[in-house]
Amino acid sequence: MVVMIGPRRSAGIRWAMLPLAAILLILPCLVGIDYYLHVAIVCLVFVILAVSLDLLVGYCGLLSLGHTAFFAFGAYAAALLYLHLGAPLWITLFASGVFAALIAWLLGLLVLGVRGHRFVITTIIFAEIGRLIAYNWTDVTHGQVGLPGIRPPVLSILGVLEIDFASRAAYYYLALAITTVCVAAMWRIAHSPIGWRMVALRENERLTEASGIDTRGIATIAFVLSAFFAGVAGSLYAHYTGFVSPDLFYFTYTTTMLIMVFLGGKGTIVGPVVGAVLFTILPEALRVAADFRLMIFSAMLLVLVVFAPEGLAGLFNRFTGRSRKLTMRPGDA
Amino acid sequence: MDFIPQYLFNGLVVGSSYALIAVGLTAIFGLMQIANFAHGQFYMLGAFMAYWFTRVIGLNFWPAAAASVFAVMLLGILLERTLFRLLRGASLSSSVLATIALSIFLENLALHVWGPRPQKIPSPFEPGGIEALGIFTTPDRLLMLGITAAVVVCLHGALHYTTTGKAVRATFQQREAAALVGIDIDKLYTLTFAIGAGLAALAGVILGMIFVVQPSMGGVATLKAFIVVTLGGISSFAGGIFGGLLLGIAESFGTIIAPSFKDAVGFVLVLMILLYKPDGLFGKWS
Amino acid sequence: MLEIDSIAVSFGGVRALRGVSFSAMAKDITSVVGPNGAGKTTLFNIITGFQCPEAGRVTFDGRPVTGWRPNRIAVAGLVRTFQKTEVFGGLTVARAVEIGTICGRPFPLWRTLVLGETQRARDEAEREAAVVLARCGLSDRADQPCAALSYGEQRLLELALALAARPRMVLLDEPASGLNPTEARELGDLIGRVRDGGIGIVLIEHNMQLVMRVSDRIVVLHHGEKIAEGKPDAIQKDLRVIDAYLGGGIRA
Repeated sequence: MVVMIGPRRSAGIRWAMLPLAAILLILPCLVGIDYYLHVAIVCLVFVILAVSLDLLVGYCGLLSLGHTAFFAFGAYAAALLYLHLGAPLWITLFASGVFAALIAWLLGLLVLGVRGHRFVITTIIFAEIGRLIAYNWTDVTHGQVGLPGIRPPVLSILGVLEIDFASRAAYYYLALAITTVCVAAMWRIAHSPIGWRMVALRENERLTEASGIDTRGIATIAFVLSAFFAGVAGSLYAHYTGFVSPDLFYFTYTTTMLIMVFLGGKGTIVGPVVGAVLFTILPEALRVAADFRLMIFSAMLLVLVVFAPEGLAGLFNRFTGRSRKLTMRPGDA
Repeated sequence: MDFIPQYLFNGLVVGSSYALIAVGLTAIFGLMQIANFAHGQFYMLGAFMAYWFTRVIGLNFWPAAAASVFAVMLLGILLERTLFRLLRGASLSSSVLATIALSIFLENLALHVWGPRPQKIPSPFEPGGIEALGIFTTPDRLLMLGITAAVVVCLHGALHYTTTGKAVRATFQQREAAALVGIDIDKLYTLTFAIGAGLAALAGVILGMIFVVQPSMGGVATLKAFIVVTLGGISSFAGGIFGGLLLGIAESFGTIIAPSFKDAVGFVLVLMILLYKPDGLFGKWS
Repeated sequence: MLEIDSIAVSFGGVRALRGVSFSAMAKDITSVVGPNGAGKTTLFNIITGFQCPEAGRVTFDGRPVTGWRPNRIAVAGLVRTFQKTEVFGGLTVARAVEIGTICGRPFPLWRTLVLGETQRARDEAEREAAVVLARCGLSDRADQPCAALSYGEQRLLELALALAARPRMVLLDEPASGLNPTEARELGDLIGRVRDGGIGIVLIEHNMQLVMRVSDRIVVLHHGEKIAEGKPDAIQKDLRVIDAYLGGGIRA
């Protein structure tokens, strides 16, 4: 389903995809402990988040550091729709995405006219404002207490077969499907002429404008799209954990996404996916040093940004003797 | 209407701390083109060092304050010589992300060393308030105002009447030319960074004495400092000082609406500035 | 094709341009010359939408384009290069020019859902980019990163980027600056070929040999005002122009 076009790396990647897909599909059987399935599901949510953030940070070069706000707004939308209208996941997925996209569009009117530190600080502030709203608008959001009780869907096929996605294995497959669709969509966008425009914007905004490309328009499209997918991730998360709270707006979530993007390699789609997987496994492996986690992670981010800004994808390309950013031929993952 | 002077005064006190922190931020950005998102941690560390020197080591307030500022300045020099030297000439994304990472690291380090509970720095003054001109205040708050006023005067004097100060101003405007003229850029950067860190630490020491000391205060301070700089413009010291005072006063009056509205005031101001005076594609070139 | 009417603008109290008017035909190479600070680049910025004039109008191909955003003006067929070389640093030459070709070819989001649309767009871009690169003599540098090109090659690349956008008229801001005489002569030939291909050219240049050799018309600016306009021979003899250049005279 994911179309790989282009002569250079497709053959190798195609062969790697098959066993990978196989493993992903039979994961619940391989993994005995329910807890690891839980980790896998959370990982999938973060895959969507990391890739969506990469569209902005990696492709457009826009340092949008309030990204978790779209995730959180999406989660709240799902929660409220479910609790007040009984809307199941199938509806809240889209509704959350659209809601987050709408907010992004409005914010974009304000913030996409500026660049540099003003842009960065405004996006950070935006997430803080989201948190304050969630915290203080107690009538709707119940404030600090949050909104519990959001249930996963029950799928009834032809009235005969019933799948209750409350089972972790079932939700895993659901999340896998949704994540695959989202990542595939973002991949197609990034490799389309829309993606080319984003890259042009990143490389030289003035020249891009002079080349006939509507830079404000493309920035808005990227902003809205990435928010849409973040919102979808929010709904997926809400129906899984069953609970939303203002904590979802905390900057730590954005930091996590940033590390994933940088670890895997920004400006690629594969990079953030790899980064998300690694960075979900890593904290689990570091369970012992739970206290020092944030210190270790922030140190990691620091080292990555300063010494390996292209992340694992960049290092990989350096070893295979080719620089990814420079070739940028269409069809590269 | 009687309460206006009181709110104004309170706002000035908090605003002074914002001004001190913002000045350092402006200096670092203007001189080195690095958006230092870890700057607020100097404020936090200044406060914690003062706490440590007084409560743990047992010094009196004044020597503890001096030692704290000095310690943070040393840290600043160390960071400048290592990390920030690497970040020179880096893209904005790199410096933003690297300094954010540094900020998180320092905050969690403090959390680890001193714990999350708010602490208090003992005041050198006798407890009790002062009342004058219808305003109720305490000696430590007056100290904050006094120190800030002194700093502003010294800063103005240094920038305009000393050779080093003039070098700073020259480098601010024209970095390459300054290097050509023989100004030692490296030493200048280190000095400016150290002073910026020191000012933030000073604000931390005094405000930590007036209010409380906790690891999260650094992140908040950074946010406030960038709000100030976004409002007042990042290219002038005066902008940083006036912006800081303005934010403090605005927040103070904001509490009239609701106590929790204090933080939102700064956010709202930033959004309004973006609406009415955006820095656009064309704003840059017009 | 391009008409400038009474353009005026000031910066911080200084009148950068006052009442500048002239026109440039689609079949001509028009050069805008003048001492430094005469306002030439400012004029280009205003024509191409990077700055707004305080007074005056710009008309291109019969349409009033004053105050339009730069990308809209580029799509309308009026494309510029910059005085300070602007390239897409991290991309290859081929990639950069491919991006240049998508000018005026919108790609709405829904198209990403249709299989094959992206491939089609890609093939089209690659084809056109190859043609443009060949025209500008950069084919052998196609796989190099833009940043790795020599200064002269980057100037050529800028021209290639402008041509990729299928313009009706290009505005070149000091395209020969920093080029050695051979490169400058080749550039002049290239510009001539572009004009022969039906694309109007407006040139800001300080290289007088180049200007005299290729121009069909010359406009002279001084202190923000137009002081002369006409064929190269006439300009050469124009006393006001000679005065403006400090009595040095313009030698071909």
